[in-house]
Amino acid sequence: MPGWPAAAPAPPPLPRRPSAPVLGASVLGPLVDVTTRGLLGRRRILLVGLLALAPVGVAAVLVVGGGVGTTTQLTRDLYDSLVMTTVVPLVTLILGTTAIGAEIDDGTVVHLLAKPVGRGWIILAKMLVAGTAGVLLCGTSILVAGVLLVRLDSPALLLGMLAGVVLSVIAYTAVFVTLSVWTGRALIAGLAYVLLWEGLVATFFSGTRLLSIREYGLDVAAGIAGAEAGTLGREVPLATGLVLAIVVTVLAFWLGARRLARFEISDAG
Amino acid sequence: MSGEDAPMSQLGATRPGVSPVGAPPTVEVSAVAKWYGNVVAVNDITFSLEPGVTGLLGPNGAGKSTLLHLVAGLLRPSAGNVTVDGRPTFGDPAVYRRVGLVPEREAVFPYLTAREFVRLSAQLQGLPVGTGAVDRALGTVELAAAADRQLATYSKGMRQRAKVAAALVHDPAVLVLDEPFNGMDPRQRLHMMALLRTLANEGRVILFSSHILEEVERVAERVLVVVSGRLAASGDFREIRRLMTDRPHSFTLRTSDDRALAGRLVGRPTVSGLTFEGGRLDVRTADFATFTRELPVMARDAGVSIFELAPADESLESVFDYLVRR
Repeated sequence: MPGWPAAAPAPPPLPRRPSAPVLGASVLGPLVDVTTRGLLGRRRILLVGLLALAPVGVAAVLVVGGGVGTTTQLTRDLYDSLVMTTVVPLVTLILGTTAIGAEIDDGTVVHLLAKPVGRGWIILAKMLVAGTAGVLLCGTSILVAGVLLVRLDSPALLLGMLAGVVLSVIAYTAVFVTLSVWTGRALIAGLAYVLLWEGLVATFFSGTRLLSIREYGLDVAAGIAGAEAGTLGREVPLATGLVLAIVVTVLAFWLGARRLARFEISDAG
Repeated sequence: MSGEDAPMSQLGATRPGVSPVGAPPTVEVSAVAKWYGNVVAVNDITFSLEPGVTGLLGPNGAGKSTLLHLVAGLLRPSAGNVTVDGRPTFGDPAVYRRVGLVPEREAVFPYLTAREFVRLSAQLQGLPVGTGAVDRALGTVELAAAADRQLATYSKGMRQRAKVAAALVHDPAVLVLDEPFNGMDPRQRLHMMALLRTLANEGRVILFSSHILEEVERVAERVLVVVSGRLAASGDFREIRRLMTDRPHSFTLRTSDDRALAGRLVGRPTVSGLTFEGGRLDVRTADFATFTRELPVMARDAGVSIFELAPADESLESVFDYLVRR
């Protein structure tokens, strides 16, 4: 068309607005991705790694020290008093509170909250990432330590310990992530739960064992390991520990999602 | 970086592919209060927003951020209602389809590149991949050239722009910005102002906060002045500016002959008060414009040299204070 300016190229179509008011499962991938990178990018992940390695180090020292005749008992002790009392709770506490607590502290959580995303998916992504990291770290640790001590002679014991670790990592993580959205002092609250409740109260009063995640893990481990767990003398059968752990995990998720749906950011001024 | 050298005339002028927002959004804030225990952060504020730029002006700690967060649905009103398109904003994530928020806190995910950050925002908005929305948003804030650098390496102003791009990626009808000009150099500031104007011309509701009068004056057609959690004034900017200019002003003068000048000043109707002591003349005037015109004439007629003329209370706080007491 001579004399006329060239027609402007047609603008690209506007992004189609999805009809669903709040987004669902499709955001899980991006949320998991950003959470994973955030977790790996923090320096405290190194601390967590070192902590998770502790049982392997102890096992190596024991093997080199040569008390190899009594290794089954040693393994049980290592599992009961180091892995389940200290390593698993602390690793999951740091991972669980870092996954969302750190984002709440530094304000980056706003970039997730100011989106049309169902709050449950945010909580789920945080729990998935922290839980997977915890399972990988603690699971590997207990397997390597166990194999160092008992070789592959007691597969049921190894499997039981692994199952106990995995189950308690999942339940702990769910609780600690939810704790992070309920209180700004999740680390303190989590430590109080682990040290005071599980460490003191639950050891003195057997009734309170029903509210101790560590006990669920130990139950399941004992149940699977059977006779090889021997002296651990669990009072609660395998199924109870398993069911309670699942109940605690689901309840924690529900409470976390509920709280995040009514979450108020705190940096107002 | 080519993005840094783009000519000023083109900045924010057009954004290809972005058409004006469809239905004009409505934002209503009615009788809203927010308190924390005994501390009242925001007290009985009512206003509604129309398409265009509205500046939220007030001194630091006046409750601007609280108010913006209430509008953006990140705080629950202790009393009153905040609605966007008739729906309460708090506890309703669906509101973020219409609302974009640029928070004041600088924090971004430092390990992401700007492109990843904006893409995350697009994904969490449910935008289909490959529509060019991410590139368009990055281009709008002139970050295309630096888009693949980690946000950790960004300057404060660049981070600010990355946050704007992330908030813009889904073409929100309502854009809320908390102190968007903080940390920007003058050039970036001009660009951001032009961008806000462009976005407003597309039919959007833009609400931004600032504690700097000149910033608000240059971009906003409407102003909300918030002092100590209360709405001290609202309306057209020129109206507010006039109120601010017409308020009583105080000046401190040092001259070659204070007594002679004081004698003349006392006779003028523009002078509402005068203190004369210790080699210094304090003058209060109700008519700022006339007084500043008259003063040199009177000094010349009296044969007095003025060594110093300084406004005694030009701080923004005193201006706000006057608006509250008015």
